[in-house]
Amino acid sequence: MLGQTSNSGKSILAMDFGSVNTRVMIIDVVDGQYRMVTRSQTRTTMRPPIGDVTVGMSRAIENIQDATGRILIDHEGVLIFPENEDGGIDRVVATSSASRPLRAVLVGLIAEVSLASARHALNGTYIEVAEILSISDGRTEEERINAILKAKPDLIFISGGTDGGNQNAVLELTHATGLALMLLPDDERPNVLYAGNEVLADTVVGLLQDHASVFVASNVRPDVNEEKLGTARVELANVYSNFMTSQPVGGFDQVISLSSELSGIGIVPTAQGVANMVRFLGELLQKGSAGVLHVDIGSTTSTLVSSFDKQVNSTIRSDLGLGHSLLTTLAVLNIENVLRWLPFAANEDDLWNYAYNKVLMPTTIPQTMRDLMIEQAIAREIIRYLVNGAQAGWRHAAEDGKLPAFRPIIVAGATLTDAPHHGVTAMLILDAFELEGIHNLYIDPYAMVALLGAIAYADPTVTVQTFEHNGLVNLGTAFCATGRVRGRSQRPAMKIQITLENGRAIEKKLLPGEIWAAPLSSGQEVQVVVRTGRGIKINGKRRVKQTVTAGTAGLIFDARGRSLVLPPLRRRPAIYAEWWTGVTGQVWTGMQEFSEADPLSEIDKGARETRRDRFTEEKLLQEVMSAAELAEGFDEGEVIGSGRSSGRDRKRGKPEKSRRGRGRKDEVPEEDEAPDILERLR
Amino acid sequence: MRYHPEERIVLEYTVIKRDRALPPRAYGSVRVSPGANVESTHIIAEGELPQDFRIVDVAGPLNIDPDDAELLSNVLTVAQGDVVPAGHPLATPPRRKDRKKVPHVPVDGVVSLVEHGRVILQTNPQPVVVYARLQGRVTELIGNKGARIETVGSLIQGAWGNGRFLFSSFSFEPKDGLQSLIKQTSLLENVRGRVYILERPINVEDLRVVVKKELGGLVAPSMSYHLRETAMALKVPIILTEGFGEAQMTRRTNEILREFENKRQAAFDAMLPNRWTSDRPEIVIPYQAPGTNALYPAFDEVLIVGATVRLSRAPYEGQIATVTALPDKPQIMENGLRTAAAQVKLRNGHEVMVPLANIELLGESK
Repeated sequence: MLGQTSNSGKSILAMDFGSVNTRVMIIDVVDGQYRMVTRSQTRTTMRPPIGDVTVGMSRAIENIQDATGRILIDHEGVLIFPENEDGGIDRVVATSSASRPLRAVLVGLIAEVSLASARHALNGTYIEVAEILSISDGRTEEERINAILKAKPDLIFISGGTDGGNQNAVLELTHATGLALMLLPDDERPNVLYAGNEVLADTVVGLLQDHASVFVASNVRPDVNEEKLGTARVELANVYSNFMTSQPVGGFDQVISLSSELSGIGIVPTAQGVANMVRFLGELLQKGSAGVLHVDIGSTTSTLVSSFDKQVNSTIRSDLGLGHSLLTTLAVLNIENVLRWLPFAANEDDLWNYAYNKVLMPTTIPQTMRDLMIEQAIAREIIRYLVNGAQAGWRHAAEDGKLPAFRPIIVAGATLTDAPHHGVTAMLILDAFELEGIHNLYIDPYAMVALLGAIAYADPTVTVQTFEHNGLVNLGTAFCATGRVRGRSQRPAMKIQITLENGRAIEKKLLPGEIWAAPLSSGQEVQVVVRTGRGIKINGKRRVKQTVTAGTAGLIFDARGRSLVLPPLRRRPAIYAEWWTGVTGQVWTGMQEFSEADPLSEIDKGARETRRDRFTEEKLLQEVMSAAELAEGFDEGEVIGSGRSSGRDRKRGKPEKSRRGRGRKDEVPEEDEAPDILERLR
Repeated sequence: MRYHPEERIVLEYTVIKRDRALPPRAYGSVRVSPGANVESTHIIAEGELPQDFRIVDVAGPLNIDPDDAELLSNVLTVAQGDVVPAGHPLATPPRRKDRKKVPHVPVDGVVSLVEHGRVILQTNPQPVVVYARLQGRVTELIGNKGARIETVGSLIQGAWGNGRFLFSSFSFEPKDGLQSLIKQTSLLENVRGRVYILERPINVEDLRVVVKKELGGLVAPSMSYHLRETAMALKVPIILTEGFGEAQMTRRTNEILREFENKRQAAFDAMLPNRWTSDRPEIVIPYQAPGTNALYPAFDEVLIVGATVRLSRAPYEGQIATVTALPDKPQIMENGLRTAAAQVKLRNGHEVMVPLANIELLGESK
């Protein structure tokens, strides 16, 4: 066992606030070691009309009290601390991905130097860069001030100047920033983070501190050839806490106050908690050149964090998610790629209708097989998209674009972790990453990675011990064959022999195109020998022998070949049903639903009719739009609150960008027209 | 386990309370007083939303040291908050020879800041008007930003709106279809400005009728997403009670609208749903029912056996049901998902299991 208990075995209340769910868990000492002892999950209550995350938090705590009898809050609903004989808790740690991303203005000298480092520092928290000001952007002071004000930032990140280097340029930009801050109402002033030339730190603080909260970190670019991001990232976490505290709704101020008082850290962005834990795991589990990979597909945000050689890379996409962000997700993904994962006839309209409804009801979950298939299809493509984007930053990536070695691969997000069967989860991971070779697959169903990463800032011993006991769920080891499998050949692609601890052997032959999860008890240590057919290899070999531990999905053997070739629609229902049965050991009754609903003979006919209807409809729509414009003087100006689209951005389905017009602006969308309409009514 | 579902209010008689206020950053004044009765088109507040900033250097052209605060205060003719017209001189020249060097206000604006010998003007302010959008009584003011309005009547919250508003009478779609309105020539059958209720998804032909016959708007259970942009371009309200696709209208919504069809006017507020606020499109039918006590919609209630709920996802999307059991343990759904669930009884008498996450309360008070 790793480490010893510290802080006299203090109990921890750990909470993760997602945009849909609030997860609460108790970590305490059992048999001298920290473990997660109980957990609960409720709906996040950040949005109005409740507008207070502590309401959901209290409900989750009450559920724990009801289930365990352990008293955590008193009669007035106040958390009891420190722990005493009646109950209570000693420490509180919280992570969050629930609020909107911070809007940031980056201020720096040169795009390729200090501003690039500032961007690197931001990789790890929820940031949307709204504006960039540089000394070489050719803008006047007035233009810079207006640019800052129009960006409505939550954070102004000033970098620039090597230590002891240029001062005038940094000061010029700081003056413009100061003036912009003075022009903002008090309650709209952003936080400022300064991480530039260290010589100027005091001067910058002096110039800005009367108008904003100023955080100072070490220079992110102390030298042209050196990048230092550590303290900037820590300060960004503080900025994030400060931002959350200042939100008019949310109730995060109470959570931050608790966690600051009881653990010395504020609220940690979930992605930052994950990044810290992945770094930690990278150091702990380092095996050869293998890295650690964590992917989380949330409702609003998706993240991919990897660690190689103590170097952590994070990709945080606030526009990719399966709930709140589903519209922007579909706008980013290739729809055809999503559709190929569906075992039934569907078109672009079906996906967009689904997405529009999901955004209206992001907390709901699929109840039909059809809806579940759609969400799983999109989840696969989000991962593929994230991996493609992240690959450029992986030094270990193979030149042919294949995934570098990761041990382990960890996935989080309810669509992946709460699939109907862990065999299905494993298949989703294999599909999404198109893994080759031998991989250890894990899921993080309780957001433990983020929370343990956050706890590591306060007490790494808790992180190590809890992770060792119940950090992740092991799905099992996957053996994935490389090579092109041909059609319906009856010659085995994989001959598998699994020898159990008691000496009993299980043998199985997989035909090309098949996938199988060996039904073994989780934790069982077995010896596996796999022989592959001609043209098919695992890790470059035709015979592999390994001792592995089975997971909740058993052991997974994938003989579908790489690159994975997906069947045409006509054959998909049968093949996907085979795969489903292969990884779950159960007959997929859901497939019947599709076969009955979509007789294959009707599919093509339906598609032809849809195309014809759409052509007629497009013409009619144009007619209606023109008539609307003529009849009522349709103008393209944005009306505040209406979200009315510009008439020109008419690429169907894509979320439209609004534009500001010169017309009269009303708080209520229709108000400018209301008198006209009423006039007509009279 | 206690579970608090989301709400989507559909109530025949309730108290409706809404805040109407200027947006952040706008400045202006409130035009109503507490106790006043307002119509939906009454102005609650008016103001301006400032736009660009202009910086005018005063010290430089007049050769004044920007740190000489005393001299600057003597020569400057404007102060923070002053509304200044274009051409207005910003200073009185300290020396006669400097008369021609005096900077002038470049465009109409408001002085936002006087700092270090420079005048910063906020220019190009945009007018903002906030309407009541509700027939009711002003119960209180919200600072100098707006007012709270209260009324009683029916309230139906929908799923999506095109951002438009209208207070109007309403009818259900004629038996011969909305298209039949095109042939309508009788002066007695005035369809102009009237909102029509469809019991089926909207199609493109319906939108054409809206424009051609100048209808007051449409309320329907659903429509295909690709009509969304056209709906947004229309200047009359389009409200979807259920969502996108081909969903059918919840029976209770239908029943309330049927009851008041051609009898009462309603506020059709097709607000775009907003993730960060509680905004939802809604239909308010104001009326007084003597002898009936209107209650506020129940809020953040615990789900209990016996509760009437709306089911929000397929295969029971839009159906009203009654909770018959709340199992302690997660249940397996027909697609294999294992999740916290409730057993509910549908109107057809069938009892089915649905995820708690797919249940909405209707705002009924117990």
